[in-house]
Amino acid sequence: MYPAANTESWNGVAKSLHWLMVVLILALFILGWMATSWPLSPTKLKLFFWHKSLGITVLGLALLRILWRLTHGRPPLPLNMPRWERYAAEASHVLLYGFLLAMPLSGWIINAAANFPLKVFRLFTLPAIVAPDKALQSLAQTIHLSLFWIFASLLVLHIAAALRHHIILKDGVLLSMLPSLREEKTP
Amino acid sequence: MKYVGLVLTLVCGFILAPALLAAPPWTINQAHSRLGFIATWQESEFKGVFKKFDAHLVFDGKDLEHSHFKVTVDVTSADTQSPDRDEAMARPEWFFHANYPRAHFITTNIQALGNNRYLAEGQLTLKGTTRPVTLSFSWRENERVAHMQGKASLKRTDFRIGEGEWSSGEMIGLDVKLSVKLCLSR
Repeated sequence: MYPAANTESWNGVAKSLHWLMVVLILALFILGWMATSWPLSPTKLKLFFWHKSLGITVLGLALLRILWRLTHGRPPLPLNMPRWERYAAEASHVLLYGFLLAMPLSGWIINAAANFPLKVFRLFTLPAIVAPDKALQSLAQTIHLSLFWIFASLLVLHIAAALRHHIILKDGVLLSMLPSLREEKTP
Repeated sequence: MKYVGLVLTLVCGFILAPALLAAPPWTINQAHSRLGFIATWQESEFKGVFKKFDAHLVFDGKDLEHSHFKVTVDVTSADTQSPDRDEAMARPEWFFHANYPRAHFITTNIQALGNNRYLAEGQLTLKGTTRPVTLSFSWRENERVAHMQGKASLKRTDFRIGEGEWSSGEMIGLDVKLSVKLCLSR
């Protein structure tokens, strides 16, 4: 249906990591929003526990993803893409990777500055990244929330751009990140 | 009237005798003493201290019968280096600082375990609840200076610390360890 010939697909690992991140980020957003608005109770702590455990998972996966991207590259962008769009795509992707690190790191700083211990998924205790510090905690909270809004805006742009490629430009950029339907067709 | 003097002597004697017989109490050197606790938060330990506490300690390893401690703790001085958590601890379902600002520990019996180690049985009054708590400690004395180091453990729900939903130990553990380190002089 679409001329996808000039667009290679992302490899399986990159795709899996991408869609796993989608699920985790959505869960993190919902859990974070619920945890902060919940009245103080064991449930509130539980919501935070899952938010923090998943956040640390994202940090680990982001590092893995960046490493994978650096060693395996990416499929080439469509040849007819204007130069500014290429730069914009590159820049927004670098920023997205940056946010995948900055969001959990700022959360980790909040947790340590607030002097809350964290046993990730009840499996291992996360070392404190900073010493207890009320002022730093407040600052990190402001940063975490601000970063979230910028990150969310960037994600909206990312999704809009992917849909533009698919619906308006019909160039297969979106398809290259979807589970490989083409591979199933090829014998 | 001549008996008045004798009666007075006897009365004073009865009042003063135990005080004279027992060793003088020890004074805490606050700067080098510490009353701490360790609790668990989602299975991970966190530490805290009670910054303000005082004690009336009469202790003589050779006269345990007349040795006793009476410790008073300012519960509101608890500090876990986490303003959020310290604030929560003041709430009615936790320590209820507004109604129960003080805790008391009074020993009822002290016995020697040998090798400078002792076991003090006592009653701890916390949040209006009195329960027995056992303190094991070591005592090292040198002329007018003594060092005491002790440990005790308790179940927070025995004292209604963490009521309602919190009484399940799922997020905040039920077992709390207490540690005390005193530097004393007399």
